[in-house]
Amino acid sequence: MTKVDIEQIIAGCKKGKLQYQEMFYKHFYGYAMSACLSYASNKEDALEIMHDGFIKVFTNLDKRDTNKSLKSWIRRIMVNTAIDHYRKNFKHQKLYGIESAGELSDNISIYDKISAEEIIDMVQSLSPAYRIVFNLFAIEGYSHKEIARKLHIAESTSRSNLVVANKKLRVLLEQRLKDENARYAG
Amino acid sequence: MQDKRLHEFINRRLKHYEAPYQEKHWARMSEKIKFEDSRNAGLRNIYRYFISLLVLGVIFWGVYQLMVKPVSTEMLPSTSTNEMEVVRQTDISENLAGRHLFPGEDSADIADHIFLNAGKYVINKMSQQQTAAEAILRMQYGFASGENQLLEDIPAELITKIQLYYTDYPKGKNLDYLNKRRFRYLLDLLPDLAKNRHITWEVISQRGAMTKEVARKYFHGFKIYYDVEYPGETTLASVLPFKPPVELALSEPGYETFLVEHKIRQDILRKKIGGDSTTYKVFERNWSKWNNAVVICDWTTSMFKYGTQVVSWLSEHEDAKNIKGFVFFNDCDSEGRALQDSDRPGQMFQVNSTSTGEVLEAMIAAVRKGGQNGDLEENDAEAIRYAYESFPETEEIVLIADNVSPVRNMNLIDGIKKPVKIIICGTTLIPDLAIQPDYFAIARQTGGSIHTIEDDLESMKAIKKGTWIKVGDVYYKYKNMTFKATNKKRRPRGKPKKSKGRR
Repeated sequence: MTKVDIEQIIAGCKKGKLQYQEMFYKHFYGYAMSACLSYASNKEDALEIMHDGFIKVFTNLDKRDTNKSLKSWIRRIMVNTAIDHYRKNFKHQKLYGIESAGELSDNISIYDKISAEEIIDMVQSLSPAYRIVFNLFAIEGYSHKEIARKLHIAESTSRSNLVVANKKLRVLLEQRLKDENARYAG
Repeated sequence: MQDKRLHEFINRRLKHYEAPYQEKHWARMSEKIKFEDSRNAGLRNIYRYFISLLVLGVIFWGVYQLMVKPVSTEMLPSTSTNEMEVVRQTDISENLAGRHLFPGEDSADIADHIFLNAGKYVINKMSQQQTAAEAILRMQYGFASGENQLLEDIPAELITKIQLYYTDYPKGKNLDYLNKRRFRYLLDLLPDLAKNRHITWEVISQRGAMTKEVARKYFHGFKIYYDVEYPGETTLASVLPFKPPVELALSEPGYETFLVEHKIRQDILRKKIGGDSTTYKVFERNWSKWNNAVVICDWTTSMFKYGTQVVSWLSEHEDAKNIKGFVFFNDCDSEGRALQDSDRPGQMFQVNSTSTGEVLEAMIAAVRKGGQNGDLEENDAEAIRYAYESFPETEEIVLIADNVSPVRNMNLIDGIKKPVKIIICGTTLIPDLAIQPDYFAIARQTGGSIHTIEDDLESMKAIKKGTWIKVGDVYYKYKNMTFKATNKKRRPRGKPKKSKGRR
């Protein structure tokens, strides 16, 4: 889809025309969904976040800074919607400790067999508080100070949640490699 | 694997990942969009509904304010100690305006109209306290007549408010007929009331009486408020007759003069200085420095507010021995006719004392013989000459001058050997002209001085570059041999200090 096409679609969306909104939705579905998946516990939650995000996108298309990338704008809206979702549903959820994780190999090529879907599954398996901090820090590149402000938590909480999330992911990766090796060994 | 490498790894794996599109998801999305649209439309409708209600409310309130003006109990000072419920007050002035122009309508119709449109109030009992500016027309319980000779002495133009008091006894009985008759009686007694648009009319029901005996003791009748102190309160009041001369009909031109007299009298009695207190301030600053002075006052119409300040000041300094007398002058000749011929002298009104009463008498006499000839120039020079010759024992002449007007017959100043101290009142109304040049000329020629609201220029030679003066409410700075108007709202720092004085 060319830039001209996109502009036409956006113009149609601004007028509230459903067929243009459908085209827009289809065009950015994959991008938006992949952003939301890592923030949600499952696909259904991700879909809910994404749909809420798209409503905001359609409502605020007029206010968009046209000099900036449309995709990054959509992503920011999706992430903010995920944060709202977290604040609404999980903020007061109790956190549980995890088992200790062993050290993994620094040779990351051995992990290349792990698909993006599997990575997403691993991230989704984190508890919401760890997951959101991990996403905001590792994927979006926010600092702990910014995360603390966005989630209304202490900076130290953000740091400790990230440490736990990292450990948990390492455990999951290690487990995934063990399973892979066992399959080939067998 | 270090944390950083873990993050890089996950980022790289997710970077180009795009979830496969699922058609069924759009169906859910479109439903959500439709739901949001309908919800927003509903919210918009509710918003519009409230805005419409608000607009209607504002319109209704505006119309209500125009039609019916509710008033606070503060409007009724004499009854403020009583519990009072404001029912409503209707502005009837517009309705009444011009009604007297219809000869076919008798006073009964007008009285009924006033009663129906008057503000209605409820109190327990009227306060029996009466102030000087009230008159009473007492009526008996159940009757619609009364007597008060003094009422006829109050010009209808000076009346500001009339209240009818009655007692709500027997409780709830409709007494409108009785009260209408009371209004008719009042208007028969004072028919000119219908011509005064500015009277506030009020009907006040007293509900405190539980028995007929108690009700009988309540006040019934009218309380009439007027805008002047009652005669006899002060010695000054006796100077002026409260009533206009008997032969003076309201329609005659002289009646206006009578009202001017009243205004002057009120200002003096209330020590009203007005917005521009130049005369009062200059007197306060300088009178003790004057040696045997005679005070000349331009007593033309525009100068009344400056002249009355002299009497206000004098009432506090009747023992000012260094002031030997006063001269008031106006635009008219000795017969009270407006001067048209510039060579003819105007009449001078002379007082050889500092008695407030005598000074006021002279001022009033000058008002009665006054008029407006339309000329801009005033008779200051001939007044100075007159005072110079009439008060040979004095050493100084004080002139209260109108800064708008140049001086007629300046040649009369020649030969004046006493310093003329000129009090400059008001501005010239000409941009960059601080003071009429004639006054500078008089001060320079006689070795006198110039005095403004804040400044005393004791010597014309002392005026130098950078000298500031305030004339009226404008600050001027002396530059290039002339005073230039500035836009300063206060005197710049480091400049000659403001003189102390009242207001």
